[in-house]
Amino acid sequence: MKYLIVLLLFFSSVYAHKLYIIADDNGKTLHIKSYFTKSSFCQECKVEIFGNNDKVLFEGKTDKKGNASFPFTMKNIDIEVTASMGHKNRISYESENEIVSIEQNESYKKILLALGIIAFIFFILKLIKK
Amino acid sequence: MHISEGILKPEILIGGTIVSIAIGSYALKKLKNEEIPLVAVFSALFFLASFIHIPVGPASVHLILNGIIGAILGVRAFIAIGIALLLQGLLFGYGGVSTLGINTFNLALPALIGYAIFSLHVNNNLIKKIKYFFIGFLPVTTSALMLSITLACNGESLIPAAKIAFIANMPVMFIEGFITMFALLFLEKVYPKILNEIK
Repeated sequence: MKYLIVLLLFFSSVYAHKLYIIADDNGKTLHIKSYFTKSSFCQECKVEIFGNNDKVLFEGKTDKKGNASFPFTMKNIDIEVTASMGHKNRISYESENEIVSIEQNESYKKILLALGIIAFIFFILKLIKK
Repeated sequence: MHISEGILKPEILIGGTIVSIAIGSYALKKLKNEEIPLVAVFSALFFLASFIHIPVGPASVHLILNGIIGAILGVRAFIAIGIALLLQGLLFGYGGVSTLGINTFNLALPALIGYAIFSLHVNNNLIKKIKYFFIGFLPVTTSALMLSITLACNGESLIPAAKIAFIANMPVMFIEGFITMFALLFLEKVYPKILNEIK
């Protein structure tokens, strides 16, 4: 019985310090949340995003609520969160979303700008012709 | 369909620019105040059409729509296409400022074929559909041919590129033929006034 209690205490202690990582993306930004329990967030923890061949793509820290955000540039990545006292977890993340690049966003802005310029040029032309 | 900067010889660039400025100036002089919104709309249409890409093998080609633009705008297509090409060159690097003249010439002059075909009077419904198809088909074919000739005139080194440019645009000729046919039939049904707006 003694052994069982000791064993339960040991496992509950291990469970309490397990670091959880949740990740999600919208095609542009990768959102990460890291926590120990529902009320204990992994604050100011180091976050590393790994791409192909374990190359570090981004590095950062979580905020007080255990959140961190990074640009979303690859569909298959590894996320590693390191807390103090050597608590660490690493997960593989695969997204189903298509990557919305910054260039693509820029293109839409440029298209709108061009349409505005076309309207402006012809507006001036209309004034001249008047 | 856009020739990039740094490829063509100066004499071709200057020749294209002079002809385009001359025809563009004539079109500007002929442009009436009430026609300006329509020309602006077709300039925007031409600008946007270049972003509609059609995959052809490993590469892709884009819509041009110079046939329908020419059919409705006539010589004013030079203004619409010239302004759209200028913005494509400045904002997206399609073509360029130095090649603006020759690109406008290659794309806007064939638009006048669309106008010429559109002016033909046809009663039979089937022949009218064929006519509308050719309003889209022939200007693109002529533009592709002119593009290839321009590249070939630059020297022997560009002859393979000239052949590829023509072959790559062959699907667009048919696609534009059908798009133009359906677009003109639709306009004729819902907004026939637009087809007779510019004389």
